[in-house]
Amino acid sequence: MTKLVLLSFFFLSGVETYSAVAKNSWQTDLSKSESAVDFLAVGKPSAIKIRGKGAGLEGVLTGEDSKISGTIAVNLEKFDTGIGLRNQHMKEKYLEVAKFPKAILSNINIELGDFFNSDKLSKKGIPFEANLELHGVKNPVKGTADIERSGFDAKLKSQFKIKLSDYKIDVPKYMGITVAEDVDVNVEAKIPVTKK
Amino acid sequence: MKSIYLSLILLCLGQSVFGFPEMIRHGYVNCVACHVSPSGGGLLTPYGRSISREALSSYGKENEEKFLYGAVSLPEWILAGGDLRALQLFRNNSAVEEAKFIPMQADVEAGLVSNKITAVATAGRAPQNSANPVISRRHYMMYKPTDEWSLRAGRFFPVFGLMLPDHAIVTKRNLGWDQGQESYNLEASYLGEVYNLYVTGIFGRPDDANLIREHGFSVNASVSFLDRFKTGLSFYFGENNSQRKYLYGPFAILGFTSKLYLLTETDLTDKRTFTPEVGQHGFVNFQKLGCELFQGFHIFISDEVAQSDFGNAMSRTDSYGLGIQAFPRPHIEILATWQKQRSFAISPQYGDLAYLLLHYYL
Repeated sequence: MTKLVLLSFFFLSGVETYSAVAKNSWQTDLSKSESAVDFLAVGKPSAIKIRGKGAGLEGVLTGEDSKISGTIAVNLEKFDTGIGLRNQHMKEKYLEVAKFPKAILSNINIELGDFFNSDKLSKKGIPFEANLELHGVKNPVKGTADIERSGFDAKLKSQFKIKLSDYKIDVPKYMGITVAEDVDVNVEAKIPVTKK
Repeated sequence: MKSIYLSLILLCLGQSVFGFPEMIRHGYVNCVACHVSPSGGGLLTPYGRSISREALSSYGKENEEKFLYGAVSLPEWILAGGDLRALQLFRNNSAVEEAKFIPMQADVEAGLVSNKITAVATAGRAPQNSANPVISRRHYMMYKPTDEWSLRAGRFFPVFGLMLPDHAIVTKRNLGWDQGQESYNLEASYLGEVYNLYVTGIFGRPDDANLIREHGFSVNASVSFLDRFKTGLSFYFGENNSQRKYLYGPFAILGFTSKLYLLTETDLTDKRTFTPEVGQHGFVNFQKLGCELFQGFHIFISDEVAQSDFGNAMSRTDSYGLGIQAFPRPHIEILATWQKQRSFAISPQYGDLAYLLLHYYL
């Protein structure tokens, strides 16, 4: 009998938490939850894979039934490519982080459809749109997003591509190695299920 | 007997021409970011010199990584380098006990480099008993029509498996790629973001009729994934007037993290002598698990097994060991290892091999 009561309580708790997502809106402050941004640039010749990571997100994401929106920012100073001189060149010469310390992703628009009302554990390839302000230049970006339930949270991952020249960033060159103009950006955020 | 062992060791450890594929853990999936040669090793590019200070060595001041520490300023189209190597060796097994200091290599290397065409040559001290006091182990002309494609002709090792510096390992020594075994080749290579391909025609040593070397070809294809992983397959066919040889097998360079990496290679060997007509099937396996404790200081464990003839248990050798590898400053490499080794043809008991290698690259 005790087991039955505990089991009932457990299920009721779970249903109540998810229904908050399904029926209502929510907000999450990314500076207080798990989040990450990384980029992948390729150097030529030799196809060096330059992965910059270590930066977290700040800003607020809002969920309204099936739509996720909001504005988030990244502190560019926090990016680390694994090699000190490369970091220095990236931040001082190309991104000019002293003048433009943050990249800002605004007008985020991700339509999840019926994901939260369904039994699906994940959904991939969801169209994603936003405006990216980087190096003092704002441009629309398009990509895809994946969402995956993890307990009572959801992990949101989005990927998009940017062209350095679109943001008036010089193509990085160093000792005969030139970085390709197209850079892949990955943004990841854990969305806790909380009531507004 | 001692002199035979010493000769073997000199052959095995004599010359190091390859680079450091474990740099894949920093996203370097190909050799040509740091080396002029598509297969790695030898002459460094300006970027490679910079990385030798920034990512390979523990410490280094500005310009310390340059040729002769920047004392000589060369035009952009000339690259220069070289290698000095010496070894302090200790070996103790049922057949021999010895300790010896061995000066191994003193080579200079120069390259004339343009966007499309490159010429590279080494010159250095010849091994003992050579007819000429100075030899060129490696020299080639290379044409690069694009960033990815290159065509190379000259004397160098064909690409097969892991292109590691250590010639003592079974995937080098036992397969025929010891010191002085470079052949004249024609190589086409494609080094892309994901796929690498080397196809090499091997023409032996037409410059020296006394050297009976194999003619044939090799193919090495690999794929990179997840920034720090690479795996591939190699195939080699070689023939001379006494034997025909096929070698084939997989290899992998796995950068689990920016600090932890595994190098592994397994090859099957198929050798047939013509008179008498005898076939031998065997294998070699090499593995090295390394960890960079702090920048420029690595510890590793290694394991090697080889059996040249599956039908003959006495043809088996194996070894395992550990070591450290340090790059305290640009130009300097220190390698110390201790291994337990045995050859069933000599004794089933393990013996000890330890050596300290000092390498100074110009």
